[in-house]
Amino acid sequence: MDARGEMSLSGETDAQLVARSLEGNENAFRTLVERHQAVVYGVVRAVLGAGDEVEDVAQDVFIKVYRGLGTYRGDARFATWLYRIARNEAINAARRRRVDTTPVDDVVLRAPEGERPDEQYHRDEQRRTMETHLAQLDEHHRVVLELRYMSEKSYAEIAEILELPIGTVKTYIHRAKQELKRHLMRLTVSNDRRAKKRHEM
Amino acid sequence: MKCEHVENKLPFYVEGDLDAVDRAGIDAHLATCDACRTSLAAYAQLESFLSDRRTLVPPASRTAARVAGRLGFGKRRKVLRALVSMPALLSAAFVATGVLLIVVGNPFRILLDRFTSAPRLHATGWSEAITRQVVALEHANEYVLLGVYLGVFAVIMLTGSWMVLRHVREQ
Repeated sequence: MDARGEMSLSGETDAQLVARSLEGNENAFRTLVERHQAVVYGVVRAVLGAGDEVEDVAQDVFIKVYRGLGTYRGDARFATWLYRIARNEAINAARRRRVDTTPVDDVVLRAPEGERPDEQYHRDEQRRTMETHLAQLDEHHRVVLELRYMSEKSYAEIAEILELPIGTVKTYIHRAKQELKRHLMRLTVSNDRRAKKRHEM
Repeated sequence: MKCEHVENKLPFYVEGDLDAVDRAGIDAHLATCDACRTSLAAYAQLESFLSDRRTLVPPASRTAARVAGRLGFGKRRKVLRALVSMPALLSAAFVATGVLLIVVGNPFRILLDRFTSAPRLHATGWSEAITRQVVALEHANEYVLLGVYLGVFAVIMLTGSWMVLRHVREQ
């Protein structure tokens, strides 16, 4: 029992929570949302890129899931079923969106303490550039990266969600990182040159 | 170990996802290779960039609350609670009174007789009209009385439900 006197649902399996949700238990569905929201955000973000609409689309996914709970047969893992819905919903949202608007403003993250304003500026610039390169990766690579880092899933969990062999997941992540590292090294070299020029001036 | 081999293993090295033998081989190579050390630094920087992405996910409770709000979870319960409270209680009271009047009709008729005998002597205008209505009702049979009560019950239920729904929609 929790503080509100309701039975704790956190120990229940996804299938049990789905069954309870279908019986009208609203807290069971809330628990499902809390448990899987990171996966949905990761997938939506991988398809849509950065932007305010990611949060709205992620919520739309759960609305759709709730309305379609009756059609979930349990022959696939709930997370896999959710992944398919999230991907379709994000693809539809991307179609609705204009191609040339890929905002990357929300990529600005908390700066480390004691960082100078110019250092922070370059750091943010670097992050924006990296975000752009990440958005240009192949969709499979983006999805596995977001599930690994945004949703904090293990290789095994990603393999189960995407119904792929674990070796394939590792290969995707490896290739994606190699690609991003190449861009990062190029960026570091150009930043070093710029800093050297400023120093000489 | 050759640079190409080390380069392929560096992402896993940074993640700590290598066995002891591979790890020792890479450590030995890095001690003597500047290019691979630069590559390792880039992978470490990339790892830091990617690890920060977890902060882009909003708190789970916030998402759950917003989804619940959009699905009308709280509201539905409120409407249900409101529908079974005031209008239903009032309607039940009316029905109970109606049944009581039918079952225990005589005291009511006696009471009506007392009230209707006096106005007959002094009534004028609107009071006389009301008195006639009451007298007519007093002579009416139980089915008419039941019909009146069921009508009042329906009006209270509909009005009450409409008020509750309007209140919920405004929130």
